[in-house]
Amino acid sequence: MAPMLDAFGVSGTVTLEGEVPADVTVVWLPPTTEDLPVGAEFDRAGLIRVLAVSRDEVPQLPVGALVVAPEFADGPLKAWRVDGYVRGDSEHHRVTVVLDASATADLPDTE
Amino acid sequence: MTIATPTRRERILDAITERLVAISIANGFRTDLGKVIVVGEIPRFGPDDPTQALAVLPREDQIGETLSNIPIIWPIDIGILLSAAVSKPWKTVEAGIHDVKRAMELEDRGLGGLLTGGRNNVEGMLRGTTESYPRVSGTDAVGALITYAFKYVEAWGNPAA
Repeated sequence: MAPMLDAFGVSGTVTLEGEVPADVTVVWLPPTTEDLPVGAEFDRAGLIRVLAVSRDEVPQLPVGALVVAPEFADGPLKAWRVDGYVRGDSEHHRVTVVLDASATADLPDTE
Repeated sequence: MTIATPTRRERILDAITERLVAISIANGFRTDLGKVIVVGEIPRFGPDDPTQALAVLPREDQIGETLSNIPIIWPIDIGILLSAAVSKPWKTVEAGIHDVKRAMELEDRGLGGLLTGGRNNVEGMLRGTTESYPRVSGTDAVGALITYAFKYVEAWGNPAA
């Protein structure tokens, strides 16, 4: 994973509740497309965004943590809320995130 | 030349749509679900499509004895699709369910004379089950399905009567 973080990562921060932001490298993994809501006949295809962060940078990445990072290199900063755990190993976390529009609006460089 | 009269089934679907189209925040409802209504189809919406929509989904009817006037109970589902706030998605689902029930369940349960009554269904329209679909991690989509049943009589060979 470390080479992937170096090659495809974007700079960002992770903020756990009650703590100061930690600088991290975020790697966006290919999103999955699901029929949502699950179980409904009348639904829509929705993207589920998944990102990875090194455990060296943040030992824990619980649901509710705030990740601030662009979706792509040189893109605008956006705020993402960790919304679910995908899987992890000794080196990194993989989590699903959803856009936090309110926190994004409060960012200084969203233009 | 005579113009064919719409069938009773068409008029029932029109009446349902007329009720649902009223759903908007401007009209005092809690959602804008009435702005996008599809009937008899399940579109393949994607991330750039409407985030609030209703689908009117006719189901297989149940018929009584095949007399000259055929008694029919027609189940029709109302599908609800919404984008929810991540923090309290259930509130969005319940708002959608509330709006559909409020719009559908008017004083006139006979849809302007289209439906017929019965011993346990005095004025023709029944509400069935309500099912909700929760938000899944990583998404904002929620939904629900409310089933109604419409009781009417169709004349043999004359579905427009």
